[in-house]
Amino acid sequence: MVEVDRSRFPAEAQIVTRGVSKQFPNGVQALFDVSVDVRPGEFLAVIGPSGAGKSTFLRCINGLVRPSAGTIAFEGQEISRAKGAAVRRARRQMGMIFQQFNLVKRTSVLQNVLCGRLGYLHGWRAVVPVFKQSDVELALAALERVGIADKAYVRADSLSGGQQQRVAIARALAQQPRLMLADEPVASLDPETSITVLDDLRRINREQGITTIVNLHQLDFAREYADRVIGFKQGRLVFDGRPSEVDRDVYERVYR
Amino acid sequence: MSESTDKAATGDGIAVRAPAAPPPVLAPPSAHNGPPLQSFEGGVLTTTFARPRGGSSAPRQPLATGGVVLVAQALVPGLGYALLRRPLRGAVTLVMFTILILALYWQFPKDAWQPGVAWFWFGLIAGAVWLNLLYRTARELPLLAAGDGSDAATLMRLRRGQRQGFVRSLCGLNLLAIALVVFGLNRLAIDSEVDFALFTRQSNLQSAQKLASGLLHPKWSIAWSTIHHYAWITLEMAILGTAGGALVAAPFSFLAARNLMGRHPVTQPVYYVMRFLFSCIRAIPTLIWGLMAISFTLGHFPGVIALSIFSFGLLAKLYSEAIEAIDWGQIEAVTAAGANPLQVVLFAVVPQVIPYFISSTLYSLEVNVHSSVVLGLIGAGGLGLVINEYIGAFAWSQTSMVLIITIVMTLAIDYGSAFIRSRVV
Repeated sequence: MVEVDRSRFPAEAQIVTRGVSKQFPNGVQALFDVSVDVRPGEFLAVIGPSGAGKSTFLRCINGLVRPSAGTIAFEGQEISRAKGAAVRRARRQMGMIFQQFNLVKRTSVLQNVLCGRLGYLHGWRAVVPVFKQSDVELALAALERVGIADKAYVRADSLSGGQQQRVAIARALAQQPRLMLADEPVASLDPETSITVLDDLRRINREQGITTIVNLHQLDFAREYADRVIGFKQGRLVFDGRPSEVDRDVYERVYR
Repeated sequence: MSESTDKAATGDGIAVRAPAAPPPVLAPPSAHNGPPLQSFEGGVLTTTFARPRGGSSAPRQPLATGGVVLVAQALVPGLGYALLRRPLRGAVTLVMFTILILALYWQFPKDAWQPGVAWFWFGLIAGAVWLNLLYRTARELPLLAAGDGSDAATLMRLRRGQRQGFVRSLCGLNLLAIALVVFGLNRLAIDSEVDFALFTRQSNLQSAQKLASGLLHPKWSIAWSTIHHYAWITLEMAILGTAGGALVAAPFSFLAARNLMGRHPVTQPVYYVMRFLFSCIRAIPTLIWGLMAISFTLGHFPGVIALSIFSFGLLAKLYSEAIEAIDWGQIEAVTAAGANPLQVVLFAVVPQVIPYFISSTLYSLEVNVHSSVVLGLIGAGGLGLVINEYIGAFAWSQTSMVLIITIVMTLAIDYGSAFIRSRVV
């Protein structure tokens, strides 16, 4: 495993969050004053109990959730205040996968992967479900990478959970992203499938140098796969360190 | 007021204990108002449920003893309940009793009061209800009086002591509520001039005989010579009307979906305006739309217009409800890929709702086949027109044939669309 440089310089960080807080309209304070730097190529695991703000943190990074205070910069561009087209330009560089896969179930696997190209389409092409040959090739290559190219013309909801999650990864890869966000990607999968999905994510992280942020429930997975682990508790950052530092003590600090 | 809710509400925060914990104990007077609390003391798990809403912290003590309560109940129905600290139940009883008295008074024509016959029945019924109320109050008295501050065992003993015999149970029925329903319905029947003699009058019996024998001997020959032409017109109007309504409703329904429109201060008013518009359109029956359309010109086209307008209101509502039921995760995923709002609708919403759109449209077609028959009566042509003419001429054999065709056509559409719907959804 590549030894990670622990010296942290925001200048070379890919994602810089400063004092990010989020209070939802219903009064729930999901994040409180979170400042984290993520360097390019890092495999970052986010741990914490349910409701600790892990998902909100991820959604703040790609603008699905707008922080109520603080700033988030992605590759030097502030996206926490950006609007419309600017947010979409930033988003198309960030792939996201979800616990529930969130595939468009009634369409084909290929159509789902092609959704990853939507952010790059302009003019009439943007609203017509006919994709360029180059986009289709890109999508098929993405499916090839996760090993299910043979399922391209199958309906998405006829696949097993693990296969669906790999389609979701392929959809993210089709975006040719520089950042991969994974919101509890293995929480709905059995241990065997979880390992293959996380293996896929780490392989993509290593081979293409795509920064990867993964929310995880299982501490052993975090220890095994991540270069760095951060822990949330009640919306606050309570741990930031190497996987090897995650021990009984850290567990107590994050989960109790 | 049902008895069960009232009894459930007597507890002052009821404690449920794990097995082998004799005897069941009520929560201490400091019962709370929040969610269930659990405590684990002395190896016994105790769950304390919140006190019923609106309850005060002190147990409800009756304001009077049994005899006084009964006398009060006899003088003013419901006052007894008030003395037992059940003011709502008392008020409901009083209101129901008052309505019953008025309903009884209205049962009889004005002049019927003179001979005293009406007074006799009035007194009999009102008296029976009154006695029944007193009986039930007396029966419930120990339970209602003891209710608060008693433990579960006492409540069970009192409750068990009441269940005895068929006649007593019968007397324990809420005669007030029963009488209110019976005489209320009777009052409605009087208003709508229900006349059972209609079925026994000699001339009517003969007409009914002719009607029945006509209907039982349909004139098959006209099915292919005439009726199929009108049936086809009815079907055409229904299909065109549905198609017109569906085409306009599809784009508008997205503007009336709360999950798409309700999140932004600019689009939210659009949502409310659209919802209101659709409700208005649906509030006006197809027949009224038809009468308005036909005021321009007679014929099939105004029928199509009327069906289109009503189907628009119906389908826009059904479509937007289908949109509101979609899986938001798919939208989130496509949004996260950098898609713009229009792309999100096209690539994440439309694939999800299309089967429901098809299903709703077929349902609307079923409704429109029925409606277009009715529109025939007011001049839009089709089966309604011929039915009207045959009935006007008392030509029951011919009417029978038209009805058979209508039934067959409707059944075919209903079963056909049910089959397709079961395949697409």
